[in-house]
Amino acid sequence: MITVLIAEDMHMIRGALVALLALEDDMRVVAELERGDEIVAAALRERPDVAVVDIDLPGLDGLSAAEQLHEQLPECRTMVLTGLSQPGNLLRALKAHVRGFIVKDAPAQTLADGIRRVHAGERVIDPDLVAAALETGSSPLTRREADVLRAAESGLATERIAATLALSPATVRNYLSNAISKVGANNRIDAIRISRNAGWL
Amino acid sequence: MLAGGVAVQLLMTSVYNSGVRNMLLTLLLLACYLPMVGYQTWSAAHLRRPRAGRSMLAATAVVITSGLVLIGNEWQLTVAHLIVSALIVLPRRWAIPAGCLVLAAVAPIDLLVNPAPNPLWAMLVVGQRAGAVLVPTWFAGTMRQLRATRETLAEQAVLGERIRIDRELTGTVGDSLNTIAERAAAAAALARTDPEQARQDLMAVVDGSRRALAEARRLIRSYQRVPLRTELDTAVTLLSAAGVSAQLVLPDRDLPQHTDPELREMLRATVDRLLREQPPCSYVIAVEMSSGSPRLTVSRDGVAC
Repeated sequence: MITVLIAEDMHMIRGALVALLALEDDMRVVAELERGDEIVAAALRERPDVAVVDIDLPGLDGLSAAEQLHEQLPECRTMVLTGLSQPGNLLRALKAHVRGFIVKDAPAQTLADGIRRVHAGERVIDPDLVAAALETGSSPLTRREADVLRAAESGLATERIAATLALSPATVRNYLSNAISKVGANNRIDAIRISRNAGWL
Repeated sequence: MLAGGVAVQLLMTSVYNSGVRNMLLTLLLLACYLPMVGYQTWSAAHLRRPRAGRSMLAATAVVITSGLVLIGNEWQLTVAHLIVSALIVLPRRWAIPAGCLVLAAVAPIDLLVNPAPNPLWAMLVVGQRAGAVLVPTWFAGTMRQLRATRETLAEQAVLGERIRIDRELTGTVGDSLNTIAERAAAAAALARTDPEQARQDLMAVVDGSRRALAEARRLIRSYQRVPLRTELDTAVTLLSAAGVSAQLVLPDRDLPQHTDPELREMLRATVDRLLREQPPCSYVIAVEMSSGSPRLTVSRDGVAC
């Protein structure tokens, strides 16, 4: 029997996933959560074989939770559910030792089969996600450029960003200018949009 | 240029030391015709026909001729501006003969007004002055024309691309959506009388929706022309992140920005396979240029696979 933990913040989708997996004779859902910061504690308590995690969760995003889960409970294999709008997350998922990466609108049988294969030690990645990730390219931003863009996304002025990141305002402007140029944007708002859509932030 | 012409004219007047009268007459006559010639030059540079061009040409001819009579030798080089005006205003079949005629007239004018005549030199200088105005004017006009043509071609290319995309979408996603709508309507009609058939029809609708969605994504992706080098770098990055040792070997010369879909499909299939299989060995992804086209080979530990 494969024990499964499900983390999905939308009630209806979470309910549908639990109902679908309940139809599988070789699977049992041992925990269902709606927040990313509850995943590790629940996993340590229930010891599931596979954790099915949505990529966008309140509290802690799915990939960060997957990283922590791999560190604290490496025997629990993680499968991430994502949309095709953020192909850049595939790289981050692979670095976080995520074993499965499938799109949310895949057929129900694909999810069940994917859980079985991940439990068997295989890596399951939707070919469309691979193609989208190759076409999007890995992030052209440095770590600091991504930090500055994330800070700018919250609407902070350059001086506040500088204070938050312990940089000078001139350095922040340089990082923003480089980021805008690298992603081919017109301004910082455009750069944030492009980077967010590509999964680079 | 025109300001330069005024300055040269004034300088020449003062150099020849013809007196205050000639200088004042020069200023007056220049003020009469230079704005007209300036307007004609500006129009030509902007690919427009000057309004009342022939009237201005006639007026310019009168003013310059008056100058020759009143001022004499120092004024004869302004005939260059008359040549400029003629070449801009007159229709092509008349412009060149008229310009040549005016240039030829410089010889007898020089003999008449110049105390030390040198007709050939006068013609050369007048021709050079006219050329100094005409050449940049025509160059500016030609550049504008090139720019306008380029914009027109770009607009046509965009329009052609939009038509192509519309045709592709209509033929693929559009057809799928029509089928989905028809099947869903049929399923709705059967829901009360034949629920089992309605359920099967709905399953087919769901299936068709997924296929249409995947097709739409593939089409949209195909419109994003990512350079080959970006895909290759990303492939190696993804494989390395997944724990698959991979190395990229590129040709000495630059890769083409965009290549045929088959090569990209091969790269994607290879990355997909290696991510799934997670082989313990190292891989080399090599790109070779063959007859100007890139060729992809994937080898494992030096052995082609």
